[in-house]
Amino acid sequence: MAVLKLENVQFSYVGRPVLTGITHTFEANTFTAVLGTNGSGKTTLIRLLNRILQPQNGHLFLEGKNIRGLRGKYLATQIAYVQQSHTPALAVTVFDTVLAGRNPHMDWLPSGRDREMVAEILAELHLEYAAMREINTLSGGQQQKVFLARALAQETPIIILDEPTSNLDPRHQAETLGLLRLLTENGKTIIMAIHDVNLAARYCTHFLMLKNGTALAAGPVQEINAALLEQVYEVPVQKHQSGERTYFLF
Amino acid sequence: MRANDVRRQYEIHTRKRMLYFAVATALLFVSFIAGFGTGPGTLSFSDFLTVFMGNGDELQNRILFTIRLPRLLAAVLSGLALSISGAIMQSVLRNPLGSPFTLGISNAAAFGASLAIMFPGLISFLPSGWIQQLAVSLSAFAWALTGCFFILFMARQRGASPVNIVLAGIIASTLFAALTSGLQFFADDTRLASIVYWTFGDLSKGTWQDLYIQASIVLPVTAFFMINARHYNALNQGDDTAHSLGVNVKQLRLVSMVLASLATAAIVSVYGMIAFVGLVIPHIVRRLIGGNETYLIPATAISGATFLLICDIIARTVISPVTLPVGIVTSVIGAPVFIFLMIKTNVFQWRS
Repeated sequence: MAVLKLENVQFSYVGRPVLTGITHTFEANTFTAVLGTNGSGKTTLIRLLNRILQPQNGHLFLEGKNIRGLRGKYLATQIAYVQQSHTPALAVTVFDTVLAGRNPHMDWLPSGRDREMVAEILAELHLEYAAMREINTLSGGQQQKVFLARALAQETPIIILDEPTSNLDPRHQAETLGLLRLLTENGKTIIMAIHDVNLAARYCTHFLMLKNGTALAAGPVQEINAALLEQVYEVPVQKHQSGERTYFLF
Repeated sequence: MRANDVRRQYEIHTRKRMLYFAVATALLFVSFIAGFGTGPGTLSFSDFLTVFMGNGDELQNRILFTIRLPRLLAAVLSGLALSISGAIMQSVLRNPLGSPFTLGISNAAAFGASLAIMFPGLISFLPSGWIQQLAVSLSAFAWALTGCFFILFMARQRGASPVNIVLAGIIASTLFAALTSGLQFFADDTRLASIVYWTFGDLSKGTWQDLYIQASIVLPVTAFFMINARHYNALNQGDDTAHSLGVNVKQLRLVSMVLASLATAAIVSVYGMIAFVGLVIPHIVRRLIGGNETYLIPATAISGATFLLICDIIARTVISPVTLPVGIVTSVIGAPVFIFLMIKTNVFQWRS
């Protein structure tokens, strides 16, 4: 089932075209890596999918409905978003950070069920030790996990992330991406902008390759190959096989 | 089970918050009652019980109902309005240094009021009667809004860091203070006195009518802030995240800033400049009960009101029988507290 569909989506920032016409379908229960060089429009695409930006041309459909016409509160129950490393400016606890994810489900005050859900998610992600600590006191890896917990508390079928691993060490990268993969297997649809092709190839199910504002290639991650990467990144690329796993050396 | 662990921690945390509310509310009542009993003209506790029962003599009635009660209510309303305005400005601009003062909004209001005092002719086109009486307040509000829009404009600029926003606020503050000085320079003696007197933050200036007007502005604004508390929590997670949590970010930021300025102007235009309440109180409360706006906003309101009541008692007693303007007391207490907070909690290092 197609969850999110883009039809000839175009976007430019005051005269500077960023996306020049993207047509792509994100299927349900997939974990898609949005790949591409710096400035290829990854973040712009992610923000369009969230309706933070509106396309100048083309359409986006959420389960067949044009997202332009959807109510903000409804959209917030469908798509959760984890923006690139943003620490809350004013000190707030981990618990309250995750509770903010319940916003679209609350009227005025959080209910007992909202708090219950936060407690369960924190326990599930092994964050119970930090529940009442201020989020600013946590390491980057722990913070990323808390933001993911917030997105889970939002109870949306779709989660979108912008460079969730950019500030993480290898262990936390593996932990975060492994968790996202697990979520996909449990029915979520995940879309993530990421720079590291090898991480994408290892953890994602699908990829979407952007180049100069268009979708150059897309498909299952197994279809990523050295020739495509050379075309995109304009550097020599070697493919290595080690057991089941494929690596690309840049 | 691990979720139980989280539940238990949360309960302890909630109990701490509730304890804070209980203590702050108790303090509010105690200082309100204490406020009745202090000031020139002695009135013992049993005396004002008698007055309350309606058995007081004329002088006692006058002291209580036309001098002390309006003054105490003025302290409560002003403390509440200034402190929650500060809390909201800090929250929507994601800036620990936000407050009506640091952002130049108080000074803008002061300029507006001075302008109306200096040039009563400017507002002679208004229908006479109560609108004329409100002219000083209206002018203060109009200029407070000008200051508010300037800050919002600066906050929208590319790469506007918290430091830049405060810098813009300082510039606006300085400019409006200079303009006010300019007006004072050209004012005749009577008007000079009236402007200078006006800039002292003094709670004795209000009338019952002022209080009604202020309450009808400040209380609905407070209700708006409380109803939107969860959205301020979402906003603290970042603009894009807040958007994906269903918050209309631009609209919330604009409406909140305008309402916070309105509440500030309602107070400043009558009582003059009362500094530090809006900056320091939200910080202290944040330290004590955490940054969740659902609790922070009401706790800040109660604490701000209590703080100003206590400052006012000090103002009336410290060099009795002379009553100091309360603005002097808030600054003298607020400045060292803020410096202490700066050293202890490194406000400047909070991330944008």
